[in-house]
Amino acid sequence: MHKPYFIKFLILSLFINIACEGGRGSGNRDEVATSGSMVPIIIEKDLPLDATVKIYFENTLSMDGYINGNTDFKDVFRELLVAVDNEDVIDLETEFYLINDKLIKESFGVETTKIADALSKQSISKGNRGTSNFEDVLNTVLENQTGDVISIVMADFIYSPGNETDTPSALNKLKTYTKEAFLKAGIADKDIETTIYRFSSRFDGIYYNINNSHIKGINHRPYYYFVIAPSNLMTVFEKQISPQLRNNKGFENEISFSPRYFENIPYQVFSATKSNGRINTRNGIEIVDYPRQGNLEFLVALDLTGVPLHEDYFLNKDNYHLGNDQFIIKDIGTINGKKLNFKTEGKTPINPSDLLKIQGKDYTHVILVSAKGLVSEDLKLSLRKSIPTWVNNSSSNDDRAIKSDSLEQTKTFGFAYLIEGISNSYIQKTGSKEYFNVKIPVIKK
Amino acid sequence: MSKLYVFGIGGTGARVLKSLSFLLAAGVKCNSTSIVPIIIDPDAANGDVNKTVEILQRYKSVRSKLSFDGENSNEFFKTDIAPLNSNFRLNIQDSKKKFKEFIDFQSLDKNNKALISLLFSRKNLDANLEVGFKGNPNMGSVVLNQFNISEDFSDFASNFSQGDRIFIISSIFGGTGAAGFPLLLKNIRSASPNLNNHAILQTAPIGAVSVLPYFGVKRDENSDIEKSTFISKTKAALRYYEHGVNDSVNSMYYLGDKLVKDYDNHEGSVKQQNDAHFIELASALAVLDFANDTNVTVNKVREFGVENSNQNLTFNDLAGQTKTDILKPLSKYYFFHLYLKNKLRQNLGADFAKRLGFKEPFLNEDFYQKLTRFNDSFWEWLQQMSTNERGFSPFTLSNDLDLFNSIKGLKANKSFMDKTNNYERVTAFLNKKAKKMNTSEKTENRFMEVFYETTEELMADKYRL
Amino acid sequence: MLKNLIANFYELWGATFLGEFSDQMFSNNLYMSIAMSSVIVAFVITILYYYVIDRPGTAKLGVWFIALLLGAIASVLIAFVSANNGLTDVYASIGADIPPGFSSDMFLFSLVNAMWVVLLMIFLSFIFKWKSTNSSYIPF
Repeated sequence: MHKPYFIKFLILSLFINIACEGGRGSGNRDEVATSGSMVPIIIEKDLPLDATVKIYFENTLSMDGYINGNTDFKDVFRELLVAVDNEDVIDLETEFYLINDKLIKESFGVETTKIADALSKQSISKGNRGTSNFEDVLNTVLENQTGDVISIVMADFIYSPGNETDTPSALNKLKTYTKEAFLKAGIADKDIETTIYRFSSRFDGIYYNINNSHIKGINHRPYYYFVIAPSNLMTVFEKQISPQLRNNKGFENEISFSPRYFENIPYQVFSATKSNGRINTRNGIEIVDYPRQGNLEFLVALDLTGVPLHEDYFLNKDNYHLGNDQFIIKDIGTINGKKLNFKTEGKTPINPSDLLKIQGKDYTHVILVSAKGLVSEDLKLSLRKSIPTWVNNSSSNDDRAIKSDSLEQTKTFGFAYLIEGISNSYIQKTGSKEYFNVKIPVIKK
Repeated sequence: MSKLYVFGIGGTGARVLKSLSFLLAAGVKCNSTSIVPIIIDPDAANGDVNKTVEILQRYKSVRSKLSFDGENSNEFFKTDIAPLNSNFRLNIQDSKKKFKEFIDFQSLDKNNKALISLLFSRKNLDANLEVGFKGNPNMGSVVLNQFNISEDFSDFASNFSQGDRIFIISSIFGGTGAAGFPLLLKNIRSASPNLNNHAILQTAPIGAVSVLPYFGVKRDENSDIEKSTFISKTKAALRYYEHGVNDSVNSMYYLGDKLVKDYDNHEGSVKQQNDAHFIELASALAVLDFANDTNVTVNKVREFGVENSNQNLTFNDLAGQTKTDILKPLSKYYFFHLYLKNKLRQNLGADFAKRLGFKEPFLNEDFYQKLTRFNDSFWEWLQQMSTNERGFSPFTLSNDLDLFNSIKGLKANKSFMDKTNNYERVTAFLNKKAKKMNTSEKTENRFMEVFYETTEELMADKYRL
Repeated sequence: MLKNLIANFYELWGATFLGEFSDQMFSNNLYMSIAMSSVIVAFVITILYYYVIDRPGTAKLGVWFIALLLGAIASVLIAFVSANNGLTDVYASIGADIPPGFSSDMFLFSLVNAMWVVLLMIFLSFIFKWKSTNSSYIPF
C-alpha cells in the first residue's frame, strides 16, 4: 500500500515501544499502551497499520458564514487536522473533499494541516453551490466508507425539503431515508459507528430558511461533525482525537451510535461505601439487613472501558433502565483512584474494604442504587440507546422566525429527524435498544 | 485324669498342704489333674489343721467358679483340689478318750497290763487323745492303726483308680506324723481284700516326704514335749523306716534343716499354730516333684538343697531348678494379690474393668471375697516365712508404691513410663491385655485370665522372665 | 465449592456473617489455612491423648476435658492471629489499616473456630478411642 508510511510506522512503533514504560508493548499491539490522552486503552487486535481520514466539507452557500475570516469553525478544523496528523497509533492519511452534488478532492496546494486556513468563499467555490441533496451526500460518503476509513462530514445539516411542500411528511422522509442509507452501509463486513459532534461558531454570512429567504445578522450558528468509522478506528478517534475537539470552547455536545452490544460488563457491588443497610456481596446481592432508617442503598461499580460512549452519556441517569421497579438509580459517579466523584453528591473516598474488591481491576463508574422497599427480584441494569435531550433541543421544525428568535438561532432545522433516522437504523441493525445489560442476582433476606 | 491323693499327717502335714495350696494357686506346674488332700490328725482343734482346712476350702470354692477347658490361658488355681469330704480330714475314731480307755486297759489281763506298762508310761496311759500324741509315736502307732476299719479310708479306696498316685507327708520327729506314716503305708500296701481296688492300691505309686527336725520348742516345765528328744526320736524312726518303709515307698523325700528357732511350747490344740517355714514349701515341692515325675516305678530317694546357705533365703539363693519352678508363679501371684488389695477397688473405672465388666457388686460376691481372704492367708504365709529362721523372704513385702522393686535380688527394667507410680503401669498392662481377650466367658474366668496374662506380661517386661 | 463450604462453616450459613470482615476473609482465601491448621490441631491433640499420652492416670473425663480445652485455646489463637495477620497484609496492600470494628469480628470468628474444633475433637474422640489401650472408655 503505502510503503514509505509502512517504514515510517515501523520505526515509529519501535521508538514508541522502547520509549514507553518498560515491558509494555514489545511490538505487540495487543497489549495496553498509553495514548496522548493518558487513558489506558485496549487496542483491538484487528487494528490496521494505516487508515484514511476523509474529511468532507459541504460547500453549499449556507456554509460561507462559517469560513468568513478567522472563525471558531476554522479553529476547530485546524485542531482536527493537527490532531489527525499527530496521531501516532495508526498511520493516518488525510484526504479533503468538497461535497455537494459532486465530490471534489481538494488540497488547496497546501500541507494537510494548513487546509483549514486555506478555506475561504473563493477557495471553496467549486461545483454546484446551491442546495445539496442530503441523501446524495450521505450516500456518497457512505459509499466511500469502504476499507480502513474514517469519514468526517462537516456541515450545518440544515434540511432542505426541496419541492416537498408538506413539511412533516418531508421530515419523516428524511428520517426514513437516513435510516435506509445507514442500514445499507452497515452491510459491509465492518460495523460502522457514528458519532456526531455539535459545535457553535461565530457566523458571518447568510442563513437560508425553509422558504429560502436570505437572512442576515445571525451571529452564531451551530455546526456538526459527522464522524463515521468502523469500530476499531472509531475507538482510536474517540480516545486520541476527540479530546482535542472537546477541549475547544465551541464544542457543545455529542451523540454516539454503535452497533455493538457489550456483553459481560464486569461489575462489583460495594458493601461498605455509601451503603445503607447490610448486604453480602459474595454471590450477587444478599440482603442481610434492611436499614433502620431510609431505604436500602448500595453502589454498583462497572467497568465500562470497552464501551465507546461519552462520559456525559454514562453519567446521565435517564439513559439507564432498570428491569423492575424495586430499584431506582439515585446517582452516578466516576472512579478516580481511591475516590468516587458523583454527579450530584460530590466526592467520596472508597471504603478500604471495597477498594480491596476492585484492586487490580479497571472499574470506571459507580451507580448508586436505592431500593424502594423490600427487594425480591434480581437487579437488572441496562444502558439504553437513547437520544439525549440536547438533540431535541437543537432541532427545529420551523425556522421562519429565526431572525427574531434567539433560541431558534441555536437550532438546526430537521436535526432530530436526521438523528432519529440514524438511531433507528442502529436499533434495527442490532435488534437491541441497549448497549449493555447487567443482571445481578438478589438473594432476599 | 490322674489324681494325687495327698495324706498330710499331723501338724506338719497340715502346714505342707497349706504351702501346697498356695503353690497351686500361683500356678506352679502339677501334672495331676486333681489333688485329693486328706488330713490325718486326731487333734481335732489343731490350729494348723484348721487353718489349712479353711484355706483349702477357699481354694476349692474359688476354683469351682473357674473353668479350664483350654479356651483361656489362666493357670492360677489350675489344679483342682477335690477332697473326699467337706472337712478334708480322715476321721479318727474315739479320739476323745484317754489312751488307756482307747486300748481298753482296764479289760486287759495282768500280763498284758504289765506289758503295756513297759511300753507306755503312766503319763502316756492317762493322756487325753484329743490333743494328739504329743510327740509319742508309741501311742500314735496304736491309735492310728484303725485305718482298716475307718469308713473314710474305705471311701478313699473306693475312689482310687488305676493311674492315681499317693503321697504322704509327715514329720519324723513329731507324734502323729512319725507314727502315722508307716501305719498308713502298711494299710495301703497290705490293703484288706474287703476294700475296693485293694489290688491297685498294693501296686500304686507312692511318694512320701518325711520332714526331719527343723525347729525347736521352748523349754516348758508343764509340757510333755521337749526338743532334746527330737533327734533321738528321729534316729529311732529312721531305723524303723529302713525296713518298714523303704520297700513300700516308690519315691522317698527327706527334708530337714539345722535347728534354729524355738517355737512357743504348745502341746496341741488351737495354740499349736506354728509360723510357716520354708521347709514346708520345700516339702510341697516334693509333692509336686512326685506328681510331675514321669517314671515312678523305680524306687528313688531324694533330698533337697539350696544354692546358698543364707539365714534368710531369697530366690537367688535357691538352686536353679527350684528357682525356675517357683520364682515366676509366686511373683506373679504376689503382684496379683497386691493389686487386688491396694488398687482394684479404686480402678473400677479403668479401661480393663469397664471392658471386662468388673463392677462394684462383683467385689462383694462370694468368689471375690473368698479369693481375697485366700490371698490374705497367702500374704501371711509369706510374712511368716520371711521372719522365720531360717527365713525365706524373696519379696520385700512392702505396701508402698515401688512395686517393681519387690523381688529381692531382681532388678526391674526401668522404662520412662514408670516414673509415675508402678501400679499405674500394671493398670496399663491390664488395659492392654483386656483388649485382646474375648468377653464371652464368665466374669470370674475373665478376671483370673486378665490378671494371669498381665502378671505374665509384667514378668516378661520388667524382669525378662 | 470447598471454599464456599468452609465459609459456611465459619459464617454458620449466614448466622455469623460479619459483613466486611467475612467478605475479606473469604475473598482473600484466609479461611482455608485457618481451617486446615485447626483441623490438624484437633487431630493431633486427640491422637496425642488417645495414643501417645494414653495412661491409666489420664484416662479420666477431667483430663479429656482439659484436652478439649487445649484444643479450644489453640484454635482461638490460630484463628485470631492468622486472621489478624492476613487482613493486616490485605489492607496494607492499599495503604489502609484494618477497620477497628474487625477486632470484635475476629474474636467472634475465633470462637466459632473453637466451637468447630471442639466438636471435631469430640467426634474424633469417638472414632479414636476404640483403639486406645487405656482410654477406650473416655469419654464413655
